[in-house]
Order: sequence, then structure tokens, then C-alpha cells
Amino acid sequence: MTIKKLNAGALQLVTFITVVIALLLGCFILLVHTQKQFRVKSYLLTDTIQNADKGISFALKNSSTKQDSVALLLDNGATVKLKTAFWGTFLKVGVSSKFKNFKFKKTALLGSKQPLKQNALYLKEHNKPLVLVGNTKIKGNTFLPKQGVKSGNISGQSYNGHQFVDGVTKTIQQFPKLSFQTRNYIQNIHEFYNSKKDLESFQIKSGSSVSNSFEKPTLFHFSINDIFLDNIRVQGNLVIQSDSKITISDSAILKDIILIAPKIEIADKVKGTFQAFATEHILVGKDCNLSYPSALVLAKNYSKQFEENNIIEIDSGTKLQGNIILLGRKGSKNYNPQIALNTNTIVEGEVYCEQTLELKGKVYGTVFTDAFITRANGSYYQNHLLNAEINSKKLDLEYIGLPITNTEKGVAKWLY
Amino acid sequence: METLVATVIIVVVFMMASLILNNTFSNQIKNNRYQLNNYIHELEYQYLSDKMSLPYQSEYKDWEISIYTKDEESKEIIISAIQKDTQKQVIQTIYAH
Repeated sequence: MTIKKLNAGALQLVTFITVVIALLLGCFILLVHTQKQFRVKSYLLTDTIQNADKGISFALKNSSTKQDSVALLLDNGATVKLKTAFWGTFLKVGVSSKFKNFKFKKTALLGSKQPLKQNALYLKEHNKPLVLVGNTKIKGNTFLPKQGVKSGNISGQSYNGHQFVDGVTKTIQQFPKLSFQTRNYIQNIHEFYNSKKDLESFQIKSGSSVSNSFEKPTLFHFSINDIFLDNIRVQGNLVIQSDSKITISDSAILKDIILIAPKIEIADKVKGTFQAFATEHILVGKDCNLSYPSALVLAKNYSKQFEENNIIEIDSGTKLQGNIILLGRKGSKNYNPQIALNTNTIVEGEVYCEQTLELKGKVYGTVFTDAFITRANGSYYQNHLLNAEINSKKLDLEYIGLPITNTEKGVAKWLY
Repeated sequence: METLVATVIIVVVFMMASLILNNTFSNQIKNNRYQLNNYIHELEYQYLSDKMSLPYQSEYKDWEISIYTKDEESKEIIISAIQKDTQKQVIQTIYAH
């Protein structure tokens, strides 16, 4: 029997095994470490995003509309900066959240929730009843003068319904007011952007496309002459102002911008989302579709009066999602309406009118008005509604609109 | 002699390896607050959707959770979770609607 000699390689073998184990352990620790690193990173990132959301809910909660930035300091040294500014009839809130190396920005358009979703009509007390004629329908709660509501007759046409108001009718105590800051801003909007020296300007050329993010400073275009928006695409954080007139043709695509001019004319079949501010008139053509959040605003300082041709007129077939506002005074001999909604127009949102409103179309939402007027056969009928519809039930529950005082804020739109 | 040294080395190596593994795993399990954070978010969501009245107290595993208003003026709401054994604390601030 021969004895086979084994090599004394035990130490070698052990070294080999040690190295293998060390390698395996190293790999494992590296894996665990990277996983942890990624987890911590994703936690920090979600925290930063959640902090931005907290900033938004802070802005919703705090009613102050100060036009400057507020810094919030959260736990663990995270900071959230809020910047509030008016954007037409809405508020623009930019939140930038910073946590260690992570930054996150969120911009939102804030408005107010409807005080009560079911309110259809607020009519100011002038000791005159509301008179319904033809196929007029009112659905929702109404706040009317003491004289209430009755049926009437316009050139042989009487009231066809069997119930005046489908909802609760109350006597109006106080006419809802727009928040003071918003009213102030709207009435002075013609000087608001014009007086800011630090705004950068941009050019409008037919066939071009301009866009600007809401996270960047506002861009401003000003002309003392007429502006004709034709075959152009304008989107975002942009303000266009003219000292005479702005005309929008149906080949212009406008999104989320503000238009300011004494006269604004919107041609037939225009589609877009914009807020228009005028002092003399806003004429909207046929079959337009102005989607949410749009606004048409005619406002004058109280030192001036509305003339007979100062009007927001919306032609038939047009649909507007958003609000219509009229602020100002008119002469005592001016019987013309200051807002005229023609037949087959649909307004989804609110109509806030400090003067007279001629309503022949449909309003899905709430009407706040000083008085109604209906022109028929050469006569003027005060507080008459002919073949109109006001239906607050057809408004989306999530609708966010006008900043009436004592209402909660809500997010109207997330901006980009 | 060589075999003896080899045995000692390999025992030591295995011991160290098992200790390291044990340590990393136990650390990972101990610091895992994923479920707790989820629960806190759930409470936060419940509060924001008006499904809860303050002050609120509850227990989640070995954490004691309380929600209270810190400041009436600024409407800051604090959600604090304290681990019973270690007294570790997790705090979340929210702004109520």
C-alpha cells in the first residue's frame, strides 16, 4: 500500500475561501448600501414633493393675498417658499420646496369655492320683483328682493312653467361682494402691468408661437395701436395689452394668457382659454368655445360711467367656461344692458354684474346681478327674464370660481 | 501547525461574516419605518378629508400616535409618533384646510 502524500495546502485553501467570502460580503454590503441610498433619496424626494403640497394647502388656508413671497420652515430644515400674485380673476401661487439637494416647484391657479353649490341667483334689492316670461327655468336656491318672483307677459307671451323656482327662495340680505384686493386689481389692471418697469417684453408675429412657463417671470407685450391676433399660438405666463383694441381671429390659439385693452373683439368660432379685461366693450362672436378657466371682465373706475355702448355681448352658439364680471357705474339714463347673453349661449360658471344683465341664454352656475333687463319689440322690460335658464345643478361640483368674500379657496388649475 | 492556523482563520472569518450579516439585517429591520410612514400618511389623508376630529390618539404596532393643533392662528397640525421602547419620535406637520 502506497501512501499518497497530500499537499499541505490548507492555508492556501483557507486564504482562497476567505477571499471568496470577503468578496461576497463586500458585494452584499455594497448592494444593501446602494439600496438604502436610493431609498433615502426617494424618501427625500417624496418629502420635498409633499412639502410643496403643504405649501399649496397653506396658501389655500391663509386668506391673505399679499403680493410677496412667504417662507415656511418645516421640520428637519426643509424650506418652502410661496409666491402669490394675481392672474386675472384668479390667484397664481408658486411654491418652491427645498430639502437638502432636492428642489420641487409647483404652480397653481387658485380661486374660490362656491359659497354654496346650489345657489343659482342673487338679485339686488330694488323693490322690484323678478318677472319670468316664456320658457324661463331657474333651478337652485335664489336670493331675491322682498317682492319675490312672479309671472309676466311680453308681447302676448306668458310664463309656461308650473313652478317659478326649483329650489329655496329667500329674501336677499346682503349682495355678495368680490374680495377687495381682486376688485382693486381688476379696476386698475390697465396700469398694473404697464407700470412695472422690470417686465420683459415679447414680440407678436403672425405665424409664430410664443410660450412661457408660469415658473418664470411674466412676459409682457404692449402696443399703443390695435393688436390683431391672427394665425398665432400664445400660451402661458404672458400678458398682451393694447391702448386701443385687441381683435382675436379664429386662427389664433390662446391659452391661459391675459388680454388687456379698452376694446376687445373676439371673432366667430374662436377656441381658447384666456382672460380678457376691457373698459369699453367685449364682443364675442358666434360659436366660440372659451374653455375653463376663462374670464371676460369689463370694469371702470367709479369716477367714470358706462356709456350706452359699453357692453359685454356674447353672440349665439358660444360656450364660456369661467366667469363674466362687470364692475362700475352707469348713467341714470342708460337703459341698455351692460352684459348681454344672446340666445343659445351657455355660461358654465358665474356671472357677476354690478349693473343690468340681459340674459337670453343659459347659465349653468350662479348669477349675481343688480338687475335684469329684456329688450323685446323695441321695449325695455325691467327685471324680466324671457326664455332664459339658470341652473346651478349643472355646474361641476369641483368648480372653482370668483373670489367672493368669506369663501374657501380651491385649486382651479395646476399650471406648468 | 498550518492546519491549526487555517482552522482558526476560517473560524474567525465565518464568525465575522455572520456578525456583519446579522448587523446589517437587524439594522435594516429596526430602521424600517415604511409601514409607519404609510400609516401616518393615511391619517394625514383622513384628517384632510374631514374624517377625523382632533385631538386624536391611537397606537400602531409599538408606536404611539397623537395628532393635535400646535397653533390655532397658523392652523398647523402636528402628527407625532413616539416609539414606546426607544422614545424615538417622528413628527409631521400639516396645514389644515
